Amino acid sequence: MNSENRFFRTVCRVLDATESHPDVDNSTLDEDKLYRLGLYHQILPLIVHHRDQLATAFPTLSSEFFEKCRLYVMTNVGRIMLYERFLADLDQRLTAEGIEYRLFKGPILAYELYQFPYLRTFGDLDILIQEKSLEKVHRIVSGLNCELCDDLYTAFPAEIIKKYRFARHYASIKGPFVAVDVHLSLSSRLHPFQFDTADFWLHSRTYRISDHAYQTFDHPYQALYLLYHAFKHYFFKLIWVIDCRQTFRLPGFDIVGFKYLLKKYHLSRIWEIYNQVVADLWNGESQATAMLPRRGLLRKINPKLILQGGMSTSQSRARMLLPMLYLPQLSQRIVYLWRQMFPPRDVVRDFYTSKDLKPTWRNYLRLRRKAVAELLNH
Amino acid sequence: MLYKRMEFIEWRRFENESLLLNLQTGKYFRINEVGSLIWEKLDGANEAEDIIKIIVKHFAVSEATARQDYNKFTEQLLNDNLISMSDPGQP
Repeated sequence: MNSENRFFRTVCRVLDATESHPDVDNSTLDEDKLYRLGLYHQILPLIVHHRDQLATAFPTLSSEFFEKCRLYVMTNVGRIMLYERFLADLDQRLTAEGIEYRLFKGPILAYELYQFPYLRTFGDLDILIQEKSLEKVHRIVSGLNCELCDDLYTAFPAEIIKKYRFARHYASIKGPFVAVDVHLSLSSRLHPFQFDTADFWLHSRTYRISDHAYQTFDHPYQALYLLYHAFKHYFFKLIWVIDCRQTFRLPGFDIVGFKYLLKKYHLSRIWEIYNQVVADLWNGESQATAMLPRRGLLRKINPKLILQGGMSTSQSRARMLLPMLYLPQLSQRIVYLWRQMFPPRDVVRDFYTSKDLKPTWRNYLRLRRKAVAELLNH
Repeated sequence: MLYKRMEFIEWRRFENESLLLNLQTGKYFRINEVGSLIWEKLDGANEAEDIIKIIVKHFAVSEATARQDYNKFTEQLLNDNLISMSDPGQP
Protein backbone atom coordinates (compact mmCIF):
# COMPACT_ATOMS: atom_id res chain seq x y z
CA MET A 1 0.00 0.00 0.00
CA ASN A 2 1.47 3.40 -0.87
CA SER A 3 1.93 6.16 1.70
CA GLU A 4 -0.86 8.32 0.30
CA ASN A 5 -3.37 5.49 0.63
CA ARG A 6 -2.21 4.92 4.19
CA PHE A 7 -2.84 8.59 4.87
CA PHE A 8 -6.39 8.44 3.54
CA ARG A 9 -7.12 5.29 5.50
CA THR A 10 -5.93 7.12 8.62
CA VAL A 11 -8.24 10.04 7.79
CA CYS A 12 -11.14 7.57 7.70
CA ARG A 13 -10.18 6.09 11.04
CA VAL A 14 -9.64 9.33 12.93
CA LEU A 15 -13.21 10.30 12.05
CA ASP A 16 -14.16 7.84 14.76
CA ALA A 17 -13.65 9.23 18.22
CA THR A 18 -12.29 5.84 19.26
CA GLU A 19 -9.29 6.16 16.95
CA SER A 20 -7.59 9.04 18.72
CA HIS A 21 -4.00 7.71 18.56
CA PRO A 22 -3.27 6.35 15.10
CA ASP A 23 0.07 4.64 14.43
CA VAL A 24 2.96 6.91 13.49
CA ASP A 25 4.12 6.72 9.89
CA ASN A 26 7.43 8.43 9.13
CA SER A 27 7.38 7.92 5.38
CA THR A 28 7.73 10.92 3.06
CA LEU A 29 4.47 11.91 1.44
CA ASP A 30 3.86 13.67 -1.86
CA GLU A 31 1.98 16.67 -0.48
CA ASP A 32 0.87 17.95 -3.89
CA LYS A 33 -0.63 14.55 -4.64
CA LEU A 34 -2.26 14.41 -1.20
CA TYR A 35 -3.81 17.81 -1.71
CA ARG A 36 -5.00 16.94 -5.20
CA LEU A 37 -6.54 13.67 -4.07
CA GLY A 38 -7.94 15.26 -0.92
CA LEU A 39 -9.62 17.87 -3.10
CA TYR A 40 -10.92 15.22 -5.49
CA HIS A 41 -12.30 13.09 -2.67
CA GLN A 42 -13.77 16.21 -1.03
CA ILE A 43 -12.10 15.47 2.31
CA LEU A 44 -9.80 18.48 2.74
CA PRO A 45 -12.11 19.92 5.46
CA LEU A 46 -11.93 16.61 7.35
CA ILE A 47 -8.13 16.66 7.08
CA VAL A 48 -8.06 20.16 8.57
CA HIS A 49 -10.53 19.25 11.31
CA HIS A 50 -8.37 16.31 12.39
CA ARG A 51 -5.00 17.85 11.64
CA ASP A 52 -3.60 17.44 15.16
CA GLN A 53 -4.01 13.67 14.99
CA LEU A 54 -2.89 13.49 11.36
CA ALA A 55 0.17 15.66 12.00
CA THR A 56 1.14 13.35 14.86
CA ALA A 57 0.56 10.23 12.77
CA PHE A 58 2.44 11.65 9.76
CA PRO A 59 5.16 13.88 11.23
CA THR A 60 6.82 14.51 7.85
CA LEU A 61 3.79 16.52 6.67
CA SER A 62 4.59 20.22 6.62
CA SER A 63 2.61 22.98 8.28
CA GLU A 64 2.35 24.53 4.81
CA PHE A 65 0.37 21.51 3.64
CA PHE A 66 -2.17 21.89 6.44
CA GLU A 67 -2.36 25.65 5.92
CA LYS A 68 -3.08 25.12 2.22
CA CYS A 69 -5.90 22.74 3.18
CA ARG A 70 -7.16 25.25 5.70
CA LEU A 71 -7.34 28.02 3.13
CA TYR A 72 -9.47 25.75 0.97
CA VAL A 73 -11.79 25.17 3.92
CA MET A 74 -12.24 28.92 4.30
CA THR A 75 -13.60 29.01 0.75
CA ASN A 76 -15.95 26.23 1.75
CA VAL A 77 -17.19 28.29 4.68
CA GLY A 78 -17.97 31.04 2.20
CA ARG A 79 -19.73 28.63 -0.12
CA ILE A 80 -21.95 27.37 2.69
CA MET A 81 -23.02 30.93 3.55
CA LEU A 82 -23.87 31.65 -0.04
CA TYR A 83 -25.87 28.49 -0.54
CA GLU A 84 -27.79 28.97 2.68
CA ARG A 85 -29.07 32.30 1.45
CA PHE A 86 -29.68 31.07 -2.09
CA LEU A 87 -31.56 28.03 -0.81
CA ALA A 88 -33.77 30.18 1.44
CA ASP A 89 -34.52 32.44 -1.53
CA LEU A 90 -35.28 29.50 -3.81
CA ASP A 91 -37.51 27.89 -1.18
CA GLN A 92 -39.45 31.11 -0.67
CA ARG A 93 -40.13 31.42 -4.41
CA LEU A 94 -41.04 27.77 -4.88
CA THR A 95 -43.35 27.84 -1.87
CA ALA A 96 -45.00 31.05 -3.05
CA GLU A 97 -45.90 29.26 -6.30
CA GLY A 98 -47.19 26.21 -4.44
CA ILE A 99 -44.42 23.99 -5.81
CA GLU A 100 -43.56 20.99 -3.69
CA TYR A 101 -40.02 19.69 -3.85
CA ARG A 102 -37.56 17.59 -1.91
CA LEU A 103 -34.07 18.79 -1.06
CA PHE A 104 -31.47 16.04 -0.95
CA LYS A 105 -27.70 15.42 -0.94
CA GLY A 106 -25.37 18.44 -0.44
CA PRO A 107 -26.69 20.73 2.28
CA ILE A 108 -28.77 18.04 4.03
CA LEU A 109 -25.67 15.87 4.40
CA ALA A 110 -23.46 18.80 5.40
CA TYR A 111 -25.73 19.95 8.20
CA GLU A 112 -27.00 16.59 9.40
CA LEU A 113 -24.03 14.25 9.21
CA TYR A 114 -21.07 16.46 10.16
CA GLN A 115 -20.19 18.44 13.24
CA PHE A 116 -19.91 21.65 11.19
CA PRO A 117 -21.50 22.04 7.77
CA TYR A 118 -18.25 23.30 6.21
CA LEU A 119 -16.74 19.86 6.81
CA ARG A 120 -18.79 18.55 3.91
CA THR A 121 -18.05 20.27 0.59
CA PHE A 122 -20.89 20.49 -1.86
CA GLY A 123 -20.88 22.25 -5.18
CA ASP A 124 -24.58 22.46 -5.96
CA LEU A 125 -28.10 22.02 -4.67
CA ASP A 126 -30.19 19.02 -5.67
CA ILE A 127 -33.96 19.21 -5.68
CA LEU A 128 -36.49 16.61 -6.75
CA ILE A 129 -39.65 18.01 -8.30
CA GLN A 130 -42.76 16.65 -9.98
CA GLU A 131 -42.96 16.69 -13.74
CA LYS A 132 -45.93 19.08 -13.75
CA SER A 133 -43.73 21.72 -12.02
CA LEU A 134 -40.86 21.61 -14.54
CA GLU A 135 -41.73 24.75 -16.52
CA LYS A 136 -42.51 26.81 -13.40
CA VAL A 137 -39.30 25.70 -11.69
CA HIS A 138 -37.35 26.59 -14.83
CA ARG A 139 -38.84 30.08 -14.69
CA ILE A 140 -38.06 30.46 -10.98
CA VAL A 141 -34.49 29.21 -11.23
CA SER A 142 -33.93 31.40 -14.31
CA GLY A 143 -35.30 34.31 -12.27
CA LEU A 144 -32.50 33.68 -9.79
CA ASN A 145 -29.99 34.40 -12.57
CA CYS A 146 -29.27 30.76 -13.39
CA GLU A 147 -29.33 29.09 -16.78
CA LEU A 148 -29.09 25.56 -18.14
CA CYS A 149 -25.38 24.95 -18.41
CA ASP A 150 -24.87 21.65 -20.20
CA ASP A 151 -25.39 21.28 -23.91
CA LEU A 152 -27.14 18.00 -23.18
CA TYR A 153 -30.03 19.98 -21.76
CA THR A 154 -29.97 22.88 -24.15
CA ALA A 155 -29.63 20.61 -27.20
CA PHE A 156 -32.16 17.92 -26.24
CA PRO A 157 -35.86 18.71 -26.75
CA ALA A 158 -37.88 19.08 -23.56
CA GLU A 159 -39.94 15.96 -24.39
CA ILE A 160 -36.76 13.83 -24.51
CA ILE A 161 -35.58 15.21 -21.15
CA LYS A 162 -38.99 14.35 -19.68
CA LYS A 163 -39.18 10.96 -21.40
CA TYR A 164 -35.84 9.77 -20.03
CA ARG A 165 -36.02 11.82 -16.84
CA PHE A 166 -32.62 13.46 -17.20
CA ALA A 167 -31.70 15.93 -14.49
CA ARG A 168 -31.41 19.58 -15.49
CA HIS A 169 -28.25 21.39 -14.46
CA TYR A 170 -28.42 25.13 -13.84
CA ALA A 171 -25.57 27.49 -12.95
CA SER A 172 -25.49 31.18 -12.11
CA ILE A 173 -24.71 33.58 -14.95
CA LYS A 174 -23.68 36.49 -12.77
CA GLY A 175 -22.55 37.14 -9.23
CA PRO A 176 -21.06 34.47 -6.97
CA PHE A 177 -21.26 30.96 -8.44
CA VAL A 178 -24.17 28.74 -7.46
CA ALA A 179 -25.53 25.65 -9.20
CA VAL A 180 -28.82 23.78 -8.95
CA ASP A 181 -29.67 20.32 -10.25
CA VAL A 182 -33.38 19.86 -10.84
CA HIS A 183 -34.38 16.19 -10.85
CA LEU A 184 -37.56 14.58 -12.11
CA SER A 185 -36.51 11.22 -10.72
CA LEU A 186 -33.64 9.72 -8.78
CA SER A 187 -32.14 8.00 -11.81
CA SER A 188 -32.64 8.43 -15.52
CA ARG A 189 -34.62 5.78 -17.41
CA LEU A 190 -31.37 4.67 -19.03
CA HIS A 191 -29.77 3.71 -15.75
CA PRO A 192 -29.80 0.05 -14.65
CA PHE A 193 -31.33 0.94 -11.28
CA GLN A 194 -34.75 2.49 -11.09
CA PHE A 195 -36.45 3.99 -8.06
CA ASP A 196 -40.13 4.49 -7.40
CA THR A 197 -40.02 8.26 -7.02
CA ALA A 198 -43.49 8.30 -5.51
CA ASP A 199 -42.23 5.95 -2.77
CA PHE A 200 -39.44 8.38 -1.89
CA TRP A 201 -41.81 11.32 -2.16
CA LEU A 202 -44.16 9.77 0.38
CA HIS A 203 -41.42 8.93 2.87
CA SER A 204 -40.24 12.42 3.67
CA ARG A 205 -39.41 14.44 6.76
CA THR A 206 -38.72 18.01 7.70
CA TYR A 207 -35.18 19.14 8.30
CA ARG A 208 -34.26 22.61 9.51
CA ILE A 209 -31.30 24.60 8.22
CA SER A 210 -30.86 28.00 9.87
CA ASP A 211 -34.50 28.65 10.80
CA HIS A 212 -35.81 27.35 7.48
CA ALA A 213 -37.66 24.05 7.20
CA TYR A 214 -36.99 21.86 4.19
CA GLN A 215 -38.51 18.58 3.09
CA THR A 216 -36.09 15.73 2.50
CA PHE A 217 -36.21 11.93 2.47
CA ASP A 218 -36.62 9.75 5.53
CA HIS A 219 -33.34 8.31 6.74
CA PRO A 220 -33.64 4.78 5.29
CA TYR A 221 -34.48 6.29 1.89
CA GLN A 222 -31.69 8.84 2.19
CA ALA A 223 -29.29 6.02 3.05
CA LEU A 224 -30.48 3.91 0.13
CA TYR A 225 -29.99 6.74 -2.30
CA LEU A 226 -26.54 7.58 -0.88
CA LEU A 227 -25.47 3.96 -1.22
CA TYR A 228 -26.65 3.83 -4.81
CA HIS A 229 -25.04 7.21 -5.52
CA ALA A 230 -21.68 6.14 -4.07
CA PHE A 231 -21.38 3.36 -6.61
CA LYS A 232 -23.56 4.42 -9.55
CA HIS A 233 -20.91 6.55 -11.17
CA TYR A 234 -17.99 5.22 -13.10
CA PHE A 235 -15.64 6.86 -10.64
CA PHE A 236 -15.56 6.98 -6.84
CA LYS A 237 -15.19 9.58 -4.13
CA LEU A 238 -14.21 8.78 -0.60
CA ILE A 239 -16.63 11.36 0.79
CA TRP A 240 -19.55 9.35 -0.65
CA VAL A 241 -18.47 6.30 1.33
CA ILE A 242 -18.06 8.46 4.44
CA ASP A 243 -21.53 9.97 3.90
CA CYS A 244 -23.03 6.47 3.85
CA ARG A 245 -21.20 5.48 6.99
CA GLN A 246 -22.18 8.66 8.82
CA THR A 247 -25.82 8.05 7.88
CA PHE A 248 -25.83 4.48 9.16
CA ARG A 249 -24.30 5.69 12.42
CA LEU A 250 -27.05 8.26 13.09
CA PRO A 251 -28.69 7.56 16.47
CA GLY A 252 -31.83 5.47 16.00
CA PHE A 253 -31.15 4.71 12.35
CA ASP A 254 -33.75 2.23 11.13
CA ILE A 255 -31.51 -0.56 9.82
CA VAL A 256 -34.45 -2.97 9.48
CA GLY A 257 -36.35 -0.49 7.30
CA PHE A 258 -33.22 0.14 5.30
CA LYS A 259 -32.58 -3.56 4.65
CA TYR A 260 -36.14 -3.94 3.49
CA LEU A 261 -35.51 -1.20 0.93
CA LEU A 262 -32.29 -2.90 -0.18
CA LYS A 263 -34.28 -5.98 -1.12
CA LYS A 264 -37.12 -3.97 -2.64
CA TYR A 265 -34.77 -2.08 -4.94
CA HIS A 266 -32.36 -4.96 -5.60
CA LEU A 267 -29.37 -3.15 -4.17
CA SER A 268 -28.17 -5.96 -1.90
CA ARG A 269 -25.06 -6.53 -3.97
CA ILE A 270 -23.98 -2.92 -3.61
CA TRP A 271 -24.58 -3.25 0.14
CA GLU A 272 -22.16 -6.22 0.18
CA ILE A 273 -19.56 -4.23 -1.74
CA TYR A 274 -20.00 -1.25 0.58
CA ASN A 275 -19.54 -3.39 3.70
CA GLN A 276 -16.37 -4.95 2.37
CA VAL A 277 -14.94 -1.56 1.43
CA VAL A 278 -15.78 -0.07 4.82
CA ALA A 279 -14.40 -3.11 6.64
CA ASP A 280 -11.10 -2.65 4.78
CA LEU A 281 -10.91 1.11 5.19
CA TRP A 282 -11.86 1.14 8.84
CA ASN A 283 -9.68 -1.83 9.69
CA GLY A 284 -11.97 -4.68 10.29
CA GLU A 285 -15.18 -2.91 11.31
CA SER A 286 -18.28 -4.12 9.53
CA GLN A 287 -21.81 -2.81 9.32
CA ALA A 288 -23.19 -6.35 9.01
CA THR A 289 -23.27 -8.69 11.98
CA ALA A 290 -21.90 -11.65 10.09
CA MET A 291 -18.70 -12.11 8.11
CA LEU A 292 -19.41 -11.63 4.43
CA PRO A 293 -18.03 -14.03 1.86
CA ARG A 294 -15.64 -12.35 -0.56
CA ARG A 295 -16.70 -13.29 -4.04
CA GLY A 296 -14.26 -12.96 -6.90
CA LEU A 297 -16.04 -10.12 -8.71
CA LEU A 298 -16.75 -8.15 -5.56
CA ARG A 299 -13.05 -8.02 -4.81
CA LYS A 300 -12.66 -5.77 -7.86
CA ILE A 301 -14.26 -2.85 -6.05
CA ASN A 302 -11.90 -2.35 -3.17
CA PRO A 303 -10.42 0.54 -1.18
CA LYS A 304 -7.48 0.81 -3.59
CA LEU A 305 -9.91 1.45 -6.48
CA ILE A 306 -11.93 3.88 -4.36
CA LEU A 307 -8.85 5.82 -3.24
CA GLN A 308 -7.47 6.13 -6.75
CA GLY A 309 -10.84 7.53 -7.81
CA GLY A 310 -11.97 4.82 -10.19
CA MET A 311 -11.00 2.21 -12.72
CA SER A 312 -7.80 2.62 -14.69
CA THR A 313 -9.65 2.61 -17.96
CA SER A 314 -11.72 4.91 -20.15
CA GLN A 315 -15.01 6.24 -18.87
CA SER A 316 -16.94 4.43 -21.57
CA ARG A 317 -15.36 1.12 -20.59
CA ALA A 318 -15.95 1.78 -16.89
CA ARG A 319 -19.56 2.62 -17.70
CA MET A 320 -19.82 -0.74 -19.41
CA LEU A 321 -18.01 -2.82 -16.79
CA LEU A 322 -19.04 -1.55 -13.39
CA PRO A 323 -22.76 -2.31 -13.53
CA MET A 324 -21.78 -5.89 -14.45
CA LEU A 325 -20.59 -6.14 -10.87
CA TYR A 326 -23.73 -4.68 -9.32
CA LEU A 327 -26.54 -6.21 -11.32
CA PRO A 328 -27.53 -9.46 -9.62
CA GLN A 329 -29.12 -11.30 -12.56
CA LEU A 330 -27.55 -12.38 -15.84
CA SER A 331 -30.61 -11.21 -17.80
CA GLN A 332 -30.21 -7.69 -16.32
CA ARG A 333 -26.55 -7.62 -17.32
CA ILE A 334 -27.32 -8.71 -20.87
CA VAL A 335 -30.03 -6.06 -21.23
CA TYR A 336 -27.71 -3.43 -19.79
CA LEU A 337 -24.81 -4.38 -22.07
CA TRP A 338 -27.10 -4.33 -25.10
CA ARG A 339 -28.41 -0.90 -24.11
CA GLN A 340 -24.87 0.43 -23.77
CA MET A 341 -23.92 -0.88 -27.20
CA PHE A 342 -27.20 0.24 -28.79
CA PRO A 343 -28.86 3.03 -26.83
CA PRO A 344 -32.25 4.37 -28.00
CA ARG A 345 -31.87 6.44 -31.14
CA ASP A 346 -33.51 9.49 -29.59
CA VAL A 347 -30.76 9.84 -26.95
CA VAL A 348 -27.86 9.87 -29.38
CA ARG A 349 -26.44 13.31 -28.75
CA ASP A 350 -24.86 13.67 -32.20
CA PHE A 351 -28.32 13.89 -33.77
CA TYR A 352 -29.01 17.02 -31.72
CA THR A 353 -25.61 18.69 -31.84
CA SER A 354 -24.77 18.06 -35.53
CA LYS A 355 -27.36 19.92 -37.58
CA ASP A 356 -26.62 18.11 -40.83
CA LEU A 357 -26.77 14.62 -39.33
CA LYS A 358 -30.21 13.11 -39.87
CA PRO A 359 -31.42 10.55 -37.28
CA THR A 360 -31.66 7.72 -39.80
CA TRP A 361 -30.90 4.07 -38.98
CA ARG A 362 -27.92 4.17 -41.31
CA ASN A 363 -26.36 7.14 -39.50
CA TYR A 364 -27.22 5.56 -36.15
CA LEU A 365 -25.46 2.28 -36.99
CA ARG A 366 -22.45 4.17 -38.34
CA LEU A 367 -22.15 6.13 -35.09
CA ARG A 368 -22.57 2.98 -33.00
CA ARG A 369 -19.97 1.09 -35.00
CA LYS A 370 -17.52 3.93 -34.34
CA ALA A 371 -18.37 4.02 -30.61
CA VAL A 372 -18.01 0.23 -30.20
CA ALA A 373 -14.68 0.27 -32.07
CA GLU A 374 -13.39 3.01 -29.74
CA LEU A 375 -14.54 0.98 -26.77
CA LEU A 376 -12.73 -2.15 -27.89
CA ASN A 377 -9.56 -0.25 -28.76
CA HIS A 378 -9.11 1.37 -25.30
CA MET B 1 -20.61 55.04 20.00
CA LEU B 2 -22.72 52.10 18.88
CA TYR B 3 -22.11 50.17 15.69
CA LYS B 4 -24.26 47.54 14.04
CA ARG B 5 -23.47 44.89 11.43
CA MET B 6 -25.12 45.47 8.07
CA GLU B 7 -27.99 43.08 7.34
CA PHE B 8 -26.59 42.06 3.98
CA ILE B 9 -23.45 40.64 5.59
CA GLU B 10 -23.42 36.90 6.19
CA TRP B 11 -20.68 35.67 8.45
CA ARG B 12 -19.36 32.53 10.04
CA ARG B 13 -16.79 31.80 12.66
CA PHE B 14 -14.14 29.29 11.54
CA GLU B 15 -11.71 28.26 14.26
CA ASN B 16 -10.00 31.49 15.40
CA GLU B 17 -11.08 33.55 12.38
CA SER B 18 -14.28 34.74 10.81
CA LEU B 19 -15.35 34.94 7.21
CA LEU B 20 -17.68 37.73 6.14
CA LEU B 21 -19.61 37.73 2.91
CA ASN B 22 -21.14 40.88 1.46
CA LEU B 23 -24.20 39.50 -0.31
CA GLN B 24 -24.60 42.68 -2.33
CA THR B 25 -21.12 42.66 -3.84
CA GLY B 26 -20.14 38.99 -3.43
CA LYS B 27 -16.93 40.14 -1.73
CA TYR B 28 -15.43 38.11 1.11
CA PHE B 29 -13.52 39.44 4.11
CA ARG B 30 -11.38 37.40 6.42
CA ILE B 31 -10.84 38.68 9.95
CA ASN B 32 -8.54 37.44 12.69
CA GLU B 33 -9.34 36.41 16.25
CA VAL B 34 -9.36 39.91 17.73
CA GLY B 35 -11.46 41.18 14.85
CA SER B 36 -13.84 38.23 15.25
CA LEU B 37 -14.44 39.07 18.90
CA ILE B 38 -15.13 42.71 18.07
CA TRP B 39 -17.32 41.80 15.11
CA GLU B 40 -19.51 39.54 17.23
CA LYS B 41 -20.13 42.40 19.66
CA LEU B 42 -21.15 44.92 17.00
CA ASP B 43 -24.86 44.24 17.35
CA GLY B 44 -25.96 47.78 18.03
CA ALA B 45 -26.18 47.15 21.79
CA ASN B 46 -22.55 47.12 22.93
CA GLU B 47 -20.76 50.38 23.67
CA ALA B 48 -17.18 50.82 22.49
CA GLU B 49 -15.85 51.00 26.05
CA ASP B 50 -17.47 47.68 26.95
CA ILE B 51 -15.96 45.97 23.92
CA ILE B 52 -12.53 47.41 24.69
CA LYS B 53 -12.73 46.03 28.23
CA ILE B 54 -13.54 42.59 26.81
CA ILE B 55 -10.50 42.76 24.50
CA VAL B 56 -8.26 43.71 27.42
CA LYS B 57 -9.55 40.80 29.49
CA HIS B 58 -9.59 38.21 26.70
CA PHE B 59 -6.22 38.94 25.14
CA ALA B 60 -4.37 40.30 28.21
CA VAL B 61 -3.32 43.51 26.42
CA SER B 62 -3.20 47.10 27.65
CA GLU B 63 -6.21 49.34 27.33
CA ALA B 64 -4.29 51.58 24.91
CA THR B 65 -3.56 48.64 22.60
CA ALA B 66 -7.13 47.41 22.78
CA ARG B 67 -8.52 50.86 22.02
CA GLN B 68 -6.16 51.31 19.08
CA ASP B 69 -7.13 47.89 17.66
CA TYR B 70 -10.81 48.62 18.15
CA ASN B 71 -10.69 52.05 16.51
CA LYS B 72 -8.61 50.88 13.56
CA PHE B 73 -10.83 47.87 12.98
CA THR B 74 -14.16 49.69 13.19
CA GLU B 75 -12.85 52.41 10.90
CA GLN B 76 -11.97 49.74 8.33
CA LEU B 77 -15.40 48.13 8.69
CA LEU B 78 -17.09 51.48 8.15
CA ASN B 79 -14.99 52.16 5.07
CA ASP B 80 -15.95 48.74 3.64
CA ASN B 81 -19.61 49.37 4.45
CA LEU B 82 -19.83 46.34 6.70
CA ILE B 83 -21.19 48.21 9.71
CA SER B 84 -23.19 51.34 10.31
CA MET B 85 -23.60 53.67 13.26
CA SER B 86 -26.48 52.62 15.40
CA ASP B 87 -28.95 55.01 16.97
CA PRO B 88 -29.64 53.82 20.55
CA GLY B 89 -33.18 55.18 20.28
CA GLN B 90 -34.01 52.97 17.29
CA PRO B 91 -34.75 49.22 17.53
